[in-house]
Amino acid sequence: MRDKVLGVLLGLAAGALMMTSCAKAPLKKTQTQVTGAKSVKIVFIPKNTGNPYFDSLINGFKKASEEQGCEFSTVAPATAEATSQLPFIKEQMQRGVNVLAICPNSPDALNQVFKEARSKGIIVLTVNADLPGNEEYRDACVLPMDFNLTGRSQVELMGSLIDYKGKIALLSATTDAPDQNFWIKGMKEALKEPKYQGMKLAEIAYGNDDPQKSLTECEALLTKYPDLRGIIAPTTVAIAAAAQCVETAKKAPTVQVTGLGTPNQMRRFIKNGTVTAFALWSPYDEGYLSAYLAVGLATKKIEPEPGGLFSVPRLGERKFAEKNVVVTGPPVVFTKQNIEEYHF
Amino acid sequence: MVEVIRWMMISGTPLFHLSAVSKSFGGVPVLNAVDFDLFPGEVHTLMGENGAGKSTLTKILGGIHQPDSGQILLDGKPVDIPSPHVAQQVGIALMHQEPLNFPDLDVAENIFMGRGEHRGPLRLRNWTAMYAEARELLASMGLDLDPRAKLRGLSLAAQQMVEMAGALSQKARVLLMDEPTAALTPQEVRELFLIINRLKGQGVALVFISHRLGEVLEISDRITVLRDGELVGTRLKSETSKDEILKMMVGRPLSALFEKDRTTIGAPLLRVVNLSRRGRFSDISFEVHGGEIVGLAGLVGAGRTEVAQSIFGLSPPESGAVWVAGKEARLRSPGQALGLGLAYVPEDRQQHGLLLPFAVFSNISLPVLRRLSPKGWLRPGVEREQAEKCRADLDIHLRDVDQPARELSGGNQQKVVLSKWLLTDPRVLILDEPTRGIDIGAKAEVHRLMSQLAQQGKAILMISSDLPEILAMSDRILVMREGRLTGEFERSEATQERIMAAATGQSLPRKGMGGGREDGPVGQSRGPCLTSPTLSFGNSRWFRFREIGIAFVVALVVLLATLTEPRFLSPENIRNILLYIPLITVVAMAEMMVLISRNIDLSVGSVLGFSAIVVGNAFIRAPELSLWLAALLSVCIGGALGAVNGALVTWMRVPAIIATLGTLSAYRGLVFIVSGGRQVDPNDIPPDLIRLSQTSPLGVPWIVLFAAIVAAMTFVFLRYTPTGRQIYAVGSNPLAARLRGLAVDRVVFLVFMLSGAAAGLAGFMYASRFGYVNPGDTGVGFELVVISAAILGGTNVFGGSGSVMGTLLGGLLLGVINVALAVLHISAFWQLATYGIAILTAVTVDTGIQRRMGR
Amino acid sequence: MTTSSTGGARRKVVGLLTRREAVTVLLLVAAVLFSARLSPHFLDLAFLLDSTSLYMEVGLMALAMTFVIISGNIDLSVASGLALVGVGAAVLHSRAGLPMGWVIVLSLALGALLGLFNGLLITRMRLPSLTVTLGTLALYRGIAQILLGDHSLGKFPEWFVGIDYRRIGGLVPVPLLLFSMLAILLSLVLHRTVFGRWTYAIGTNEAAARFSGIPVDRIKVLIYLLSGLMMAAGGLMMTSRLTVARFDMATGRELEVITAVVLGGTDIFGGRGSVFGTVAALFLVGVLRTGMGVANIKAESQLAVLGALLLISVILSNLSGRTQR
Repeated sequence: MRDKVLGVLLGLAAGALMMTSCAKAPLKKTQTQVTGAKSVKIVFIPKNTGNPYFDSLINGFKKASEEQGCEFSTVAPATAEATSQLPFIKEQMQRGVNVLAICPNSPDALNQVFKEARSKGIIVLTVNADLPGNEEYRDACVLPMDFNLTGRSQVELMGSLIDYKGKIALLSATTDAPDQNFWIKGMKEALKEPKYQGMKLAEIAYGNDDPQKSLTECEALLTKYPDLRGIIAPTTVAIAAAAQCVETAKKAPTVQVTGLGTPNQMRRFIKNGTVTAFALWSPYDEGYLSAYLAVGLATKKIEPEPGGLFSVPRLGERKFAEKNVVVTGPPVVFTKQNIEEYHF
Repeated sequence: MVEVIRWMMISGTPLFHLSAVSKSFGGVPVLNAVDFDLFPGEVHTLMGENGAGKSTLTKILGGIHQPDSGQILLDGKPVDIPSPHVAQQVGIALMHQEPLNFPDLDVAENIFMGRGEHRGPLRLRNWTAMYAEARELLASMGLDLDPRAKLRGLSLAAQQMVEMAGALSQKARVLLMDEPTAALTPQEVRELFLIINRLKGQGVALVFISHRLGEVLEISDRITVLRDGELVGTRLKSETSKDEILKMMVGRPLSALFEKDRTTIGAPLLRVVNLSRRGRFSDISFEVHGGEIVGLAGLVGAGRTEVAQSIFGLSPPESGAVWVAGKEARLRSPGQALGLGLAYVPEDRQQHGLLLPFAVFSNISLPVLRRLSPKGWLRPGVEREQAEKCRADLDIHLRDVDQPARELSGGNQQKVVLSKWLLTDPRVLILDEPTRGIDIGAKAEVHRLMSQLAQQGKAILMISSDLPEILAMSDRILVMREGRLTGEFERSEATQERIMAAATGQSLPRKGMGGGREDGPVGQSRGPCLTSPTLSFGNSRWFRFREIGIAFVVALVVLLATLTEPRFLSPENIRNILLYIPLITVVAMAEMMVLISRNIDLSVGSVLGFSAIVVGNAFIRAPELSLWLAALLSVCIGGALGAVNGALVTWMRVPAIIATLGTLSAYRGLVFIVSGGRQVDPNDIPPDLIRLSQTSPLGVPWIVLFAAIVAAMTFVFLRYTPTGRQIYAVGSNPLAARLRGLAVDRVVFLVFMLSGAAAGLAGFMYASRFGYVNPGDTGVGFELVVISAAILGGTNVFGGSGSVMGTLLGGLLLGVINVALAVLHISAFWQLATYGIAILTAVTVDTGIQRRMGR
Repeated sequence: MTTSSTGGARRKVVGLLTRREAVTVLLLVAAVLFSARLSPHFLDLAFLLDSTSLYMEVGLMALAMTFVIISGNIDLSVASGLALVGVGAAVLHSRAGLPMGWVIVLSLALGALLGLFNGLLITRMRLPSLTVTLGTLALYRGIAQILLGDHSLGKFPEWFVGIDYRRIGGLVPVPLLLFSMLAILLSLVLHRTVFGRWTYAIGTNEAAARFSGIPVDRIKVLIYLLSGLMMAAGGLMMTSRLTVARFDMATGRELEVITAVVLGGTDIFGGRGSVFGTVAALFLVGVLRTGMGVANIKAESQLAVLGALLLISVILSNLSGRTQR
């Protein structure tokens, strides 16, 4: 009996809901029409909240959006799990955005929703990470640097720190991170060159981008290879963990740490000598470029096709490479000398 | 009159005087203007049918209930007893009908919990003094009982004696005993009366409640009868009679006991042949014929209930056979027994007989539900019809059949249980203490019903500790002692003395407890205060088996890892392992306390994150902030969040698992909101803080020392302070703790606050260890790690037990496993599965050990 | 419900107001109104129906969890089991090359097996369900991780993927439809069958249930089996939705499942609750999440709101429902 009454209550609620939604139905739209740069609505969805790398990138986005007068917003899931971005994409579609800029947490789990978005005329722009093997599900991709060069440049940086001699180890994120694997392949190839023959890759450890796990893996490396000379950590979590671990073990400067990290994160280690040098591109420029590209694509002023050129204020001309990948620029090597100039 | 004069000489005024006390519950008057007084050195018995108000009266004296009107005078002065605690202070001790004690604690602590501390140096508990006093106290009562024995292993009677010892320990002037003999065998009742008499001699005033007239007339000095909340009258024992009391109770004359009618005895319906179950009973053979009532007598713990439950398929026997109506029955479950026409009415009506919140009709239909529900679909109409029929047949008093069973009186509840089994139309009916705790009127009705059932040709096996009942109702009487049948008597040849002799193995009832040692196999028959012999070997003080087990596993992992990679035991790596565990240790200690208190805290990971982010931001704002101030800040913040959890659980009465599930997300949200989603970078963390995980004067990093200190403090707190011991008491039995006057809510609140504070401190340590704080990473999933550590260490998730050493080892095991995975370069993918297997193995092994210890 | 009555209409009305489900339904209505005010994009039937696909796996598991919790137990392993079934399906199809029809059957069997494992450990070894399923929470996802590392695996046939894009009448997504059908079915099982009554009985007092001849262990195992089947259904549904399976699918979702059940008025200590309440609570959380998402409210604030919601609903019904228990 009570269940019936409750059922009626719920029925009423549902009915009210349907009626209101039907009333709204004529207003239903897919996407707001793009009439010019000012009418473009961009959303950027980073991997997760609280990631300092993306704070800087978002600032670039904001600046460029301001300059162009378009609407920019950003939302992020709390965790970087493969599917956590899904509801956010759906909700942004409902909000009628024109450009979905996203750093995808998975190279394939979002395919379906990207397909849906594009069928509604939304531009899907992957930023900072791509969808290897699934490039057809996005319009274009902005990468921070030419990933073909990343591996080699990391090896060179490490070599210069250890005099091109000795055992080195890699502390990566996860075994399946496409960028990481691409870079690791590049490193392995570079290490075959005669110039780097004195350097031996002892082990590749994976810290899962988890602070505790990265730290434990790094400590294990130091335990196992007392003669270790260097650790390359091409991910922000791992490089911080590696620096922390080497500092705690008091192994600097015998063991050199380098890799990819943000200046804010590494400043202390550079200043106290634990880390001599590390590299990163400019996430700010990456966001800045992405915003211009986004508006260009939405207003059809830029046509994505390999070899195509377009220009971005302040940064100059950029080219669509294969699979419509756009590269932001070369990385910066941070050392004691220049680190105070960078704040991100 | 002589006796009255004696009291007057001892004390001119009564110790207690209640005048015109009234009390009602939900508008129903339970006591109506009752007068009652109590003199030192007397046993004043309260009698009356169930619902007459006896228990309410004692509970008012014990501070559990407050009278609506009327006055209580203590030594002639008006007094207020607002809580059990105050009652204790004025010298009133209340023994509940079912002993309210702490099964996880030992005898001595059960005696003294909430009743005074044995302080040693630094105001810490002096265990030696406590055990000594307990031993003395028990000896003074003539009890031979190890004060270090866990209560869980003791017989019901022994538990009651312990409760009594507790009452005495506080030099109680008044001892209220609510049906202390209901669950005791005649032999145990004798022991109890000896103690009562000794107390009486010491001038203690005793209030005694019992339904058994015989013993009432034996022990009482005065008898007060209540009926329907009204005082009927008070009589001196020497001036009254059985008949008068009975008449006062029911309002009309009543014959003392119904006797079974003669029936024609038919074919054997139940035949039990050489039934045995290790440690419980052996070689039991008997028959019960149609139309026959067989009484099964014996002391509590003699194995009668176990035999009945084995026959009913609840705990299958190891050997022997059961024949029902001429066919051998291989009984594995009660369902099967039901199908064969067996029915078992358990002794514990409320715990085993009924589903108290369920409607009467659904209680009644439970065993026959399948039959009443074609193809598994319920037909409530049919169920109600059946229930109505039973209601009419057995004259069950209720509002309607939809009334929850818990609202019925004991007698009516028993009738519901009976009708539930009668509906199955059993051939053989096993009744376990069918009239325990029900009033005289209902008792006679149950007896009449039994007689009718026998007349219908059913076979009835009746277990009873009430000898007059056995003698009046049985055609044949079996007696069990220590798991064996030791006597069989025809109705005509049975006497109380012969039954008792068979039940105790002696020709005469023993005088004291010590006598039990001379007879029977050693350690087997120490009478009622027997500690279960299987338990003694598990009583090592510092290590339980579990801790040795987990230490062994830790050693095994270390060994395997070292064999594969010798550097696993290098100083650096040992340091790495040491650095892995401080965070886990600190929080796991607190989580263990939460678990011991029968709660859980799922929010620790979020609290850790919150505290770490606040500390980090504090350093951004004030880089010169002193480390100790920052540590204090983290502890306070954590403590505050923990206090919110505690408030939710204690004041708002939100179950801990839900409260902390809610704050798990809410606090994580706060982490982002407070930090604005920004990470605290390594640069913002002062180098001094980092150094805490790198250096220290003793060569061990500071944070390891912190963890060691926290563990040591937890150990001292849990073992040597009253509050620490109260955590165990609260977890072991929250209701008993409340009634003992312990501030249960305060303890639970404190435990959550400590848990928060520990997580807060861990947040500070996190900043030191990792050198930066990310709002999204920090502490996520940490609750599972610390709960795992506590569980691996043998902490009982249902409260009451857990040890610092175990939890330390649990944390160490997790640390060793993780470092080993990294050093051996085993894929991180194995980590999760390893955790899972470790937890499952640990609990399986633990449960196995516990069971073998006869828990 | 077993305690509902034929007589005393007034009692019934009072009873209704003090029931947890009533609080949940009121909160649901409030959530709809609140969300509609937050954003003009919210009240769009197609979108709302579409957004349900995001939490139907949680819903399926919550249906079974209602049985588990009413019977006085808990199953923390559901989300991990979901991931293992999804990964298992991907491995069977893409690595072992089995036809998809078989894969579906085997996946359901695998889910049943996982549930069975939980159930047997709990009943045979007499272990507390909290500890057992905490162990299998780690174990199941651990096995999924060992099988697949952190790769995604997919390449399912076209007919299998994108279940959330298949709509009945162009409007109602298939996951919602499947969920609704199962909700009605399981509601009938819980409230109208012997099995359901026994579930309540076990959760109210396991010993008394055993003494009454109820096959307690068998029922518990069956309940965990049901939970396992729902993990499997959820795992297949999510795999279809994502087109690939990964070991970290649905990480932490067990908490959402339990939240839905508890928010729906099921007593965490067993013996009380309803499928209806769970369904209402599921949509309450879903609607609120979607509403806040469309209004661009940050994920972290959403977390805080949902945590607070759970607490408030329990406190509210504690205040209004003093008469119960």
